[in-house]
Amino acid sequence: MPPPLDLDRLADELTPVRRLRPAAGALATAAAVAAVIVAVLGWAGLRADLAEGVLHPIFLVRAGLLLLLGSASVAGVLAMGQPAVGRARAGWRWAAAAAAVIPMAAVILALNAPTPVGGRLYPMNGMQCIGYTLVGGIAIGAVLTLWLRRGAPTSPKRAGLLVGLGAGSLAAFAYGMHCPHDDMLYIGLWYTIAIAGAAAIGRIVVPPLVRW
Amino acid sequence: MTADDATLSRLMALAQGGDRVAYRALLGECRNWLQRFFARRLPPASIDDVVQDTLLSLHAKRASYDPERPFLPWLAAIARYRWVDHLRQVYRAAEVGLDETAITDEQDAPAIAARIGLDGLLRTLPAKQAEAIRLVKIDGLSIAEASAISGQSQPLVKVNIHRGLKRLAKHIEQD
Repeated sequence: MPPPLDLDRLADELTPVRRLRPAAGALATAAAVAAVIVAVLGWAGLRADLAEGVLHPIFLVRAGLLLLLGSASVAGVLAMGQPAVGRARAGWRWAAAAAAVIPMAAVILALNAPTPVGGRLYPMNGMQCIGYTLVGGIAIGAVLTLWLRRGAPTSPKRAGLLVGLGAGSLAAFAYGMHCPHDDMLYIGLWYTIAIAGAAAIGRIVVPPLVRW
Repeated sequence: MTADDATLSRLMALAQGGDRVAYRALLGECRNWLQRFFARRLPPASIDDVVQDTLLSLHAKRASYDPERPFLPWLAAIARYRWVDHLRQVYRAAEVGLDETAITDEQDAPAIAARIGLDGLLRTLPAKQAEAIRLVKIDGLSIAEASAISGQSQPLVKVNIHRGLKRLAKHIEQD
């Protein structure tokens, strides 16, 4: 049995601390996303239509959903840094449900496609999408994880999942600035795999790093 | 006299700035509050250990408190996290030797009974798992006795205890 805790001694060891601020975490994440966008544009280049100032509707829907899912997940992570009994943090679930419309639409389109879908999948481009999303997601996730380590997440597994989901979604958003594909089937397959992969990595890697 | 939430919040804000007198007063209040908090969730022999662990966590994670928010929900979240951690440690210890001896250890039974004393938690489990845990871990019956009463085979009683405790730990974390 350990000796009783000496509260006087614990108080004597007190040093001032810098409060954990979610706004700082959000700012650091935004900076990381901006850096990933710059890297994507530097290595792969901007979509041709964006370069000409034209916005494709599917591009807008995809970017909006990814930004929504990423932001909701990151907001969940930031809230988890400051625990409190009774605080609901379910926003990311609704965002995930909204984003799930794309893979579901892809499945329906694939089942009803008049021609074989194989020619619409572009596996090499899909692999590139996964690669950029995972590498970018690791960079964004690292920033989030560093911030979260100063906090006190009481559900490390869920925190890891949300770090991966948020970082992966935002990295996919960044890669979307280059991605020339607007086919729902392509987006539903490769983006889903990439983001699910990032979420799985977060779920496995992050919990031991934020446990306390 | 018990300090109210606003007072504790002010003390914590001062402590974050390095005020040791305020911090010492806060620690004393928190220790009293935690002893009451855990009294309903732990056997008496374990309370002091978990209170100490929680106070050390409070110390280590004091930067995560936002003085704009109530203090006690923050402290309760930390306390519950340490409580689940304690639950897992006891569970892992039982898992290592999940046999007749470990499961029917008389000293362990009240500990686990207190740990999962909230009936609401047991109601979240499938009936067979809840029954196995209730008979062996709370009522202190042997595996053989639990098997005879419940109609489950002895291996099934063990498996249901194992799965039920695991599910309880997961449920508490997500609550």
